[in-house]
Amino acid sequence: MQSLELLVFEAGGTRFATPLSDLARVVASAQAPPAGALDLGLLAGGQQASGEACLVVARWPDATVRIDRVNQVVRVSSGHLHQLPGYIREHCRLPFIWGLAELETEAIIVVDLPRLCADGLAAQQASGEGDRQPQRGP
Amino acid sequence: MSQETAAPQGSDVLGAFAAQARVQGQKAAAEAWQLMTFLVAGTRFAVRVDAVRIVAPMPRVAAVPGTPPWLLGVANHRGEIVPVVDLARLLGLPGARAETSPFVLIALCDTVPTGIGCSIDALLDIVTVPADALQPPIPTLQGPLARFAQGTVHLGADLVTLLHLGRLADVGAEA
Repeated sequence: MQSLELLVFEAGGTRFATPLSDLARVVASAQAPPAGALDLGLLAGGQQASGEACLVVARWPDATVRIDRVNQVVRVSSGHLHQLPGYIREHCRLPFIWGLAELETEAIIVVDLPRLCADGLAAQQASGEGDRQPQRGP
Repeated sequence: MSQETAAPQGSDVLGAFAAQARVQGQKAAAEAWQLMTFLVAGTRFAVRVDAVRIVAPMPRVAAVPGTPPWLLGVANHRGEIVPVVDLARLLGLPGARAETSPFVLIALCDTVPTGIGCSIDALLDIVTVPADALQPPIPTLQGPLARFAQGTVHLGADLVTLLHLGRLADVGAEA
């Protein structure tokens, strides 16, 4: 059975996970995030990240996403990865929510990081912030 | 083969069908429905037992960002990912506290293979009532509850609304 390594992290009060293969790097930084950094907490309808920034830099497209903190790295077998059920997909307005990973005691939302970044950058450009993109993390 | 048991021919076929339909109609009138009754936000509701997959302790539910407030999230039930709705909130009932609902009732839905989980506060009983005891929904019923009301039935001193939870699959994001 195939397996996947996931980075588990928090943003906007929710736990998320994303495949390590989609990440260029993770940066824990006391510095302010770079201009144009996407905020996953806000994108997911939660709270904006505050205090010290923690950043994940996508492998593609070239974008930096601000999160609250990193929790762990886990290896999950494909049998414990589920795409979002169709009924939920119909009602979910966030296309970057890919599905769920079953960990020992909980299910964690898996985000499609390339999709999140592509959509976030497109939204920034549409709102006139695009001239600040693309940005790489520190 | 004797002549009495030979298959009917021509118009006899229609007659035989009509007779069969009458018999089936009489049987239907005499049919009984098994109803499961349960509490949601202090109100007693009923569903047909054959429309329910299972009632179980509420599993851990993972909230999915970007979904309507009545959609609690998803739960793992025996290896299947099942959507779970806050039934009280969806029905527009006051005093809903879905986070504390101790049970999930997984309703069968034609278009959702796993069924759809509904948060309920308590499973009360399973009763058998004659099919003709079911009355139309109360005409003054309004709001979200009217959408799911299949009828009403007197159970003891209670006038209980029979819910058609299969309609959960048709709820739009605007609900």
